Amino acid sequence: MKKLFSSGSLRTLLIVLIIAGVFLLSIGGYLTPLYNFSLSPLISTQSWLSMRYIALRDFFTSPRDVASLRERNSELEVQVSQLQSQIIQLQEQLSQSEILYALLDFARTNPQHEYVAATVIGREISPFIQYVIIDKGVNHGLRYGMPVVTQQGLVGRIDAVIANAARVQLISDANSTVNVQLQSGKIEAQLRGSITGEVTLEMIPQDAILEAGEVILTSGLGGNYPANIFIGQVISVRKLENALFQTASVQPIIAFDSLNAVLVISNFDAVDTSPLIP
Amino acid sequence: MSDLLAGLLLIITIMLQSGVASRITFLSGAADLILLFIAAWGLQGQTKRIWLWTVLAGFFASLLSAMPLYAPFFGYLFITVLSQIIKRRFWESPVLAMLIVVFLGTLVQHIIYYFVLIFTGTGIDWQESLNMVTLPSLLINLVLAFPVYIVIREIALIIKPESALR
Repeated sequence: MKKLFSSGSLRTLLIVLIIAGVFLLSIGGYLTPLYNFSLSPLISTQSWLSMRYIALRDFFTSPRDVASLRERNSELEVQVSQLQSQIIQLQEQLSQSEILYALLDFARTNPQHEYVAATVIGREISPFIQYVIIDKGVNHGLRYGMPVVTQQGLVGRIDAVIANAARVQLISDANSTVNVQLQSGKIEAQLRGSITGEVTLEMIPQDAILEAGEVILTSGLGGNYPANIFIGQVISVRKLENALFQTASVQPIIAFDSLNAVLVISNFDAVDTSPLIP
Repeated sequence: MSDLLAGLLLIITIMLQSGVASRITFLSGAADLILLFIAAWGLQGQTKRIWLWTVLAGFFASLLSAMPLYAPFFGYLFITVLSQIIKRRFWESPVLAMLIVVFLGTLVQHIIYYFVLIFTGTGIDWQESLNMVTLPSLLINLVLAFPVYIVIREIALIIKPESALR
């Protein structure tokens, strides 16, 4: 018994009991305040050390990251600009396709004519007259006097032609005269252009009843243009009591400022009446 | 080499005029890049060959244009004459000379156009042509006069004006 409770064995037992007690107290949660109190300086120290380490690491590694990010950013900017240019190209192709589809649709709905599609490549250099230059000429079967249209209506006629280009006189030109008819009342008149590009209807008989919104078509009279090509609509009528004829302002269906592609009616032979004019 | 570059510049100017400048309108007026080119070129240094470029520009512009009786040719010829006269009077202030040449040149060119059209039977109203065509064109040309002069001056210096323009 004396041997059993010797100082060495008792110390061991006490240690085991203390450990077991601390363990049990820890499991029971009774030591949490003690842990918090004792660990908080350690945690603070650890935090301080960690922050200093991160600061040092960032100091040495950040410049390389910024440089790589800048490189990546520039690469992405190049990609964005390439994609934007591709989008612009595709949009241009789409708009050209839409124009060509519209021209094709017009050609299908008017099968009696043969058409040569052309692109407008320039405009008259003098602002006093209204002409455009197209990229098709004699080599493509174009001749002087051929009518030029779009899917919307009448544009003008070929005024001069060379091998691979032609000059088109617009119906809005001051020298242009087109014989027309009004769709509703079968009234015949003349459509004239001006230096500003505005189009007016002249030589309308005084007894003719004309209203805004009436549709104007080519009459075919004179042999310069085929009949029944759409030109525009009447905007307003001017009727003076002492005048021989009425006049009217016309809104052409064609926006001549934004003309990009046209169709030349290649199987129409214009009649040259200039020798008959005294 | 310098003549080739000057010729190339002239062709580019005519193409820009027909393809771009004529499409950009203010009311019914438009810029005349060929006029500005000739005026600016005529005011640079020794310009003996300006007559050659004027004749070529007038010839090509008359071919391209539907204006009768080679009206553009005579218009540009007048601008060269004017630039040579004005250059001697205002040699210390070339920009002012450029503005004067462009102002008077545009007016005279439009007067030539007006009378040629009247002569060939086109009925046009002078008030309408003044208000809707000439004054807007004058404004655009005056606005473009300074930048065109600077560009032509730089180009003339690049292609050695002492040999190109003599």
